[in-house]
Amino acid sequence: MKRYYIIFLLVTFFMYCDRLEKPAKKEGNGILNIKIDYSKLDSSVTVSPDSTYVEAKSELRVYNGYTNEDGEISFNNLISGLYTISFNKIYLNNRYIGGGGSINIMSSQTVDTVFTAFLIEPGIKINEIFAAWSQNDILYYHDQFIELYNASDDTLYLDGMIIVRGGGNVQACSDIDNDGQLENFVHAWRFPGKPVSKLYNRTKGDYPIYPHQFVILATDARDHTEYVPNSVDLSHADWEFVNKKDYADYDTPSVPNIICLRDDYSSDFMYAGTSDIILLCTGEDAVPDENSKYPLGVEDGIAIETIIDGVEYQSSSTSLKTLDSRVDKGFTGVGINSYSGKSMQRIMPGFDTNNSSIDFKILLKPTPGYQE
Amino acid sequence: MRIKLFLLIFILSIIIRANEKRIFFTGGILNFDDSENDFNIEDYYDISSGIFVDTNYLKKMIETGYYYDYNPVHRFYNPYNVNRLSISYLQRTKINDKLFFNGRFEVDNSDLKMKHSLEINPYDMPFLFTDTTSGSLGGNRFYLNNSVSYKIKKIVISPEVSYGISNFLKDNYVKAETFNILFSYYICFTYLTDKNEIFVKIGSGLKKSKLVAVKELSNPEVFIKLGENVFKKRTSSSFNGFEKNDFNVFDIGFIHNFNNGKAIGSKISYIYNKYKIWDGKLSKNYWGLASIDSIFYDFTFKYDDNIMSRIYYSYSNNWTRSYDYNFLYQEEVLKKGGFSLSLKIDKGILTNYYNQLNFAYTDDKYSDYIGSFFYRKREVSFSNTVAVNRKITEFLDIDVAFNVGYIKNSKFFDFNDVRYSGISSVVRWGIYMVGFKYDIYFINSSFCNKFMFNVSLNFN
Repeated sequence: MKRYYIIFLLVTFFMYCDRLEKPAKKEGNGILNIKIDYSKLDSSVTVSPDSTYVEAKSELRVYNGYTNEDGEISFNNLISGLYTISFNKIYLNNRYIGGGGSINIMSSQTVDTVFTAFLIEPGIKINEIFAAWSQNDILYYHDQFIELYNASDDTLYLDGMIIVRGGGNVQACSDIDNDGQLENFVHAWRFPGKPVSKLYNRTKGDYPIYPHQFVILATDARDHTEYVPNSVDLSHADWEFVNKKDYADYDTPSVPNIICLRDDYSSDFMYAGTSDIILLCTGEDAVPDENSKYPLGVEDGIAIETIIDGVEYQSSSTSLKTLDSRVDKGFTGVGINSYSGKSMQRIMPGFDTNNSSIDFKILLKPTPGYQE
Repeated sequence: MRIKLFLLIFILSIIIRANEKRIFFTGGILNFDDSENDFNIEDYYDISSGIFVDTNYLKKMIETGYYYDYNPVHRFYNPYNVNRLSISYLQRTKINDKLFFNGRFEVDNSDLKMKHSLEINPYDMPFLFTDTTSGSLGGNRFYLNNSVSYKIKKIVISPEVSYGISNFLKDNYVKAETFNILFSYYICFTYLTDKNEIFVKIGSGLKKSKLVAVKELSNPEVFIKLGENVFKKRTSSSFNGFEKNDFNVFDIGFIHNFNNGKAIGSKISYIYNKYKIWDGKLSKNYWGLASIDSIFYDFTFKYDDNIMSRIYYSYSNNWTRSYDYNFLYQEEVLKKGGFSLSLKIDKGILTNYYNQLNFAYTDDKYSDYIGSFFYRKREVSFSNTVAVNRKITEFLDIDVAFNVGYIKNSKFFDFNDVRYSGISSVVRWGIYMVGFKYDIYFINSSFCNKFMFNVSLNFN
């Protein structure tokens, strides 16, 4: 019997050793004090520090509010986690300041932080990307579009610009050899016309985009609601991607085309529903030259200084980021499913801090040609 | 999420076995005259070595049956409709004078209509997997329980092993699939004399659950429910969750029979549950941790065959936290005490007439730190059940029961006062057994009906 008692005692001992230790502190006691530093703004810009909208977002909760007269705001009872902070304010009609970043907060901890406000640069922006397709059960995938927006007060021109799809490669659109050019993209498409450098100084061209105008670049410029009731009418799109090598690609005669720059590619311009990269570039380093090592101009990479705007989107918040952080420091699209009908749009027209985690919001349905 | 009160029976907890049917349908009356309901450590405290003092009912039995439950009065994530077909085999045999075998094998096919829950026992889990659609979870379950009891002089040693698996599919988006495994083992030492049955039982086990959900082609969302009003949204197009529940059990108790027919029994039970949850899309080790400590105390007094009473008390301390941050998410201290008095009248027209009065008091202190939701709930409940058993012929036996009850500050019905009453009956005719239970619940100014039905065949 002695043996049984020993076994019994041993088993009992091991049973109660492996216990979880109860935390001594409670969640929901984090404090975040934010001060916005307006001193780095251009001296010609006058912005009062109060009433700047600030949002602190973690995977569990969103806190928001407006700064006081000292440009400060405090959030209390925060849950531990990684928070994305963003702020913005309109200081003139269609002119914004903004900024943000990420910060890790622990419950029962008080964090004081300063974020620098800067002017949202004008220019052409990728304002909305509808990638996830409309809700349907026939796998209809022709209704994607990209919306551009001219956030400046000047007329700009799209001549010769290129649109690049990065793809889902783990090194997509990254500067692998550190030469200032982004490699690993799937294909590039060009607007007609000759690309010109120093884009913002351009005063002439054939394909204008007027101040604060939205421009729709449709995969297929037609009324997709004829096929899928939940879809969008893109028959009035401004541009259409057309690949002449794809004989099934729909080409609306009244809509000008954006042409594929890849010889061996015979499909329409499509991008992944939940994770991909879209770049808008001046196209000045992608001039076709038959005598060049790179006859189409883009095979050697996209020079970062020619990128006007770039957006990465990933449906999972834990996905690894691939697009070079000099173009986009974050990614949008978290939580979007394929065939969900959801779209990604900047929080305000043209609002761009080069961090898509901050700059974009998720829409339940696409809004081609207007801002929700 | 509020953590489940008690976690004594795991994945197969809602299967009603044949030998529990009469007791179940007739309101759990303590001294109900039933071959499966004697006051011994096997029937009353579920101690397998008690087969040595309960040798009158050795048998080999196959039971098959159909169970239906229409339950609009339910907690939010529990099923509101259950259909189940089951078959089970039970064997209690004497191998020799010192060795007995007790085994059970059960298979069932179930269809559970649920709102938003992706788990068949949603309140067993400290973290709940949910989605945005309603639908049926349909699937199969297998459960095996074996024990042998070996007697050395007055000591009986009983090792016991249980194994169960289940696989369920949701028929609506997100079309989640759940797969569960249960394995547990116990050893029980029992000291038996003519008057005393004293036992110590220890055991451990684990339950593993995997849940896979794909969100393609539609727009439903998958969430992990963390607090009363806090949900963690799963952001990827597919969800791959994993949960592991380790548990330890320690029971000690006795039954003492006096010379004059009176008896007392008592049991103290301690259960520790530990949970780890993996969020399959993360590279981190775990996502959430939870712990449940539960202690039960029971004292039962049998005055004679006609009068029994029981008092009990339980204490449960539960908490959850995330893996990344060592802070409490939720915390719950739950105390419950109760009293039952059961009387049997055996004279004239009141032959085999039973009446049982129940009273229970629950003190529930709950804190949800991430949702800033706090409450303290003191629930009081009364119920009274009246049952009559009539043996019509040698083969035909009928039980009929009526019950009325009142719950003040019900914690399960959004803190309302609830009144209910019902009727139930079990008819046994040879190998056939039919049971039904109908209850009507009055909550505020509205009422709703609850109905259960079971038909089964027992082949000895």
